[in-house]
Amino acid sequence: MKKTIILVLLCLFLGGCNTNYKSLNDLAIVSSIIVDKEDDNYVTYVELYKEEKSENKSKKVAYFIEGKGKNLKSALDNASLSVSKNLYFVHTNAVIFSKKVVEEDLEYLFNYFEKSIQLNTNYFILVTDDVKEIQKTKDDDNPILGEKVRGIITYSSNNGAITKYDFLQKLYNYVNPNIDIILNKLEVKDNKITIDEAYYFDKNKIAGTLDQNEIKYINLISNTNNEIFLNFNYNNCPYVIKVEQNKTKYDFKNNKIILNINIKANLDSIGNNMDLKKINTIEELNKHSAESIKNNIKTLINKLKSSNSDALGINDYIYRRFGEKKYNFYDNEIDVEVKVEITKKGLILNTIGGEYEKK
Amino acid sequence: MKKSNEKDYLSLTHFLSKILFLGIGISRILSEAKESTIFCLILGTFFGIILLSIITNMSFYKSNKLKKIIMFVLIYILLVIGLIEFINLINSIYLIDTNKFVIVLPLLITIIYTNIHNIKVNLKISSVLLILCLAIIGFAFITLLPEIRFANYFPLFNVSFYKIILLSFEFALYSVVPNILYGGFKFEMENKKKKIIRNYIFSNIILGIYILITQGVLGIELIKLFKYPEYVILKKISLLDFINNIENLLSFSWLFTTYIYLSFCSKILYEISYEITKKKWIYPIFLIISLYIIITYFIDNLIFLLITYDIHWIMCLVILIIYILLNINTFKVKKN
Repeated sequence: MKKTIILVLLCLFLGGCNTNYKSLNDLAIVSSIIVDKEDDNYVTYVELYKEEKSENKSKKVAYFIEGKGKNLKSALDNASLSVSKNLYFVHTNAVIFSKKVVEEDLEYLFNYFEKSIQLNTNYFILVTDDVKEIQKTKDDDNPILGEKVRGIITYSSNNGAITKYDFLQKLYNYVNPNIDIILNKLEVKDNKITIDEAYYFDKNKIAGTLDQNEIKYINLISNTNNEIFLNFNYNNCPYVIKVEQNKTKYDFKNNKIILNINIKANLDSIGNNMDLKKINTIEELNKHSAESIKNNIKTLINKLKSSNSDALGINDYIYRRFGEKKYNFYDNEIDVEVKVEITKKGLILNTIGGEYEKK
Repeated sequence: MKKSNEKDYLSLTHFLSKILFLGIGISRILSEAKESTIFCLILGTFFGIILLSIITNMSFYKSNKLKKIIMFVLIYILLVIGLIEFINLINSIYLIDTNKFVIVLPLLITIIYTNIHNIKVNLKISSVLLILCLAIIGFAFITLLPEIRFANYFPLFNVSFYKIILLSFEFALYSVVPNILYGGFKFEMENKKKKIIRNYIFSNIILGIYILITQGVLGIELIKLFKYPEYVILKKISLLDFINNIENLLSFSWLFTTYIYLSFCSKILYEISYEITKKKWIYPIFLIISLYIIITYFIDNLIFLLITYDIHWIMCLVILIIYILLNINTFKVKKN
């Protein structure tokens, strides 16, 4: 009996939770955080959501609370002053930085969020040009911005045109001195929130933007996205290939860096006037798509080189392989060799109006 | 209670070899040895076997009062080292706002309660928790394998040979020094020496895989940023897309390790104090009061923590040297 009493007393009075216990009703669950800067002050908009009941229906309503401060901590603390609950950051889906704050304080932002023990590490970080517009837009698809962003990055059929890295993976690239980071750009188009482009960086500065096609090639080279769809046009006939398998290798010869890409692809869709029963047609598509990929990658590499940004992480690869900077992404010429092998036609047997019908 | 068998004693090696890596050992070895960590693990285990084979030939449970008092101090220091990392881990991930002494008090009471009983109680707990620990670690290994980036292991030769040797020795110290607790048990070490070494190699292989997975998942640059990289990698675990955020549950393997370690340190301290004072109540009071002072005035002091981080291995070395010098007379060479 004595032991039982002691155990009960221990549970009651020595549970560590006694001093910081908060029940579920006391928590305001944060879905996203937007960080901006105004006149040397950080401004944070913390997105919270609540259930609203009307006529036997309940729906989620998102709202933002604002806080200003000399540093991020005080800005977030000030934002919490307008809520009667405790801000709970563990389920944060996205942290969105304004372009201004990224241009001025990227290092500080990474530092703060890396050390923040309140947040998990699997949220996404993005950049936006217009903080106000993002908050105003009420998307019918999902009214909660954070969930919407997570949904777009994780589940949407984005054809490989989005970088899918979460915070920890972005941090991995950021702290690596040989890799420049890429951050998805969040914007409003036709009153819809979307991710259409990405910013690429030269160390801590924004070096430029990448369009969907360029992001696909970055994902292709770095093997970071499982589903990449590439669009081409062969003799005024559009076709799409889906990358099924992809191997990227680097060779170093005669002061040149040679990028070898081997792709096994599935023919996803195809325009008219192609006879898929002819071996020649498949061979021509193999050659044409390889040539197109090669040209697109070369253009991309030139763009990155001219902006002094190694977003592909080629310098990191060189460091890992040689242990020293024997070659350099910026100084050495980069040659691209691409081999495409279309291995599947999917459900396509032939095209309407192709050679097959002319006979 | 059933009689403790040999396996119960040997299960201890796993916990003792791992404990000093929590919070300090893993982050120090990885951030200093960088991509050459694998060599430190192999050489460290080799050095560790040599040191362990010396230690397992010694014991102090039969020594005189003065020696026992010195041993009491050494083991008390080891207990505090383990406790510091335990408190910091709990205070960083579970109970952020809670007073550190309040965190420790339930643990201390449990430890003291088990100390009053026979050592068999501790040994049974140890052998049960070993199975749980291995299951948790096995689960973590399997689920983390897809997260590994092989590029993080290269270039292999990233630090000088001299540094590799130094860090290997540091690795050996961390894994061997807590094993001096074996010297305090009242059983014949000689015939268990081989089995202890075999278990030590096994636990080092598990620890080595854990360290290498940490390196492969996070990479050296990220590891340098985190105090507990061994905990951060657990955040990456996601199973079937709906089992997420289970890092707090999986980090229990470290908490079990700490608990077993602290309870055995405490058990030996209790035995020594009882032999010297012949009073049972002195040790529990001493432990609670002394730890209250240490937690309040030292563990809350960041400068003290930074110093201990840097001199951690020196402390281990000093403890090992004093232990060997003190008990050299008990050294037993196996006679053919």
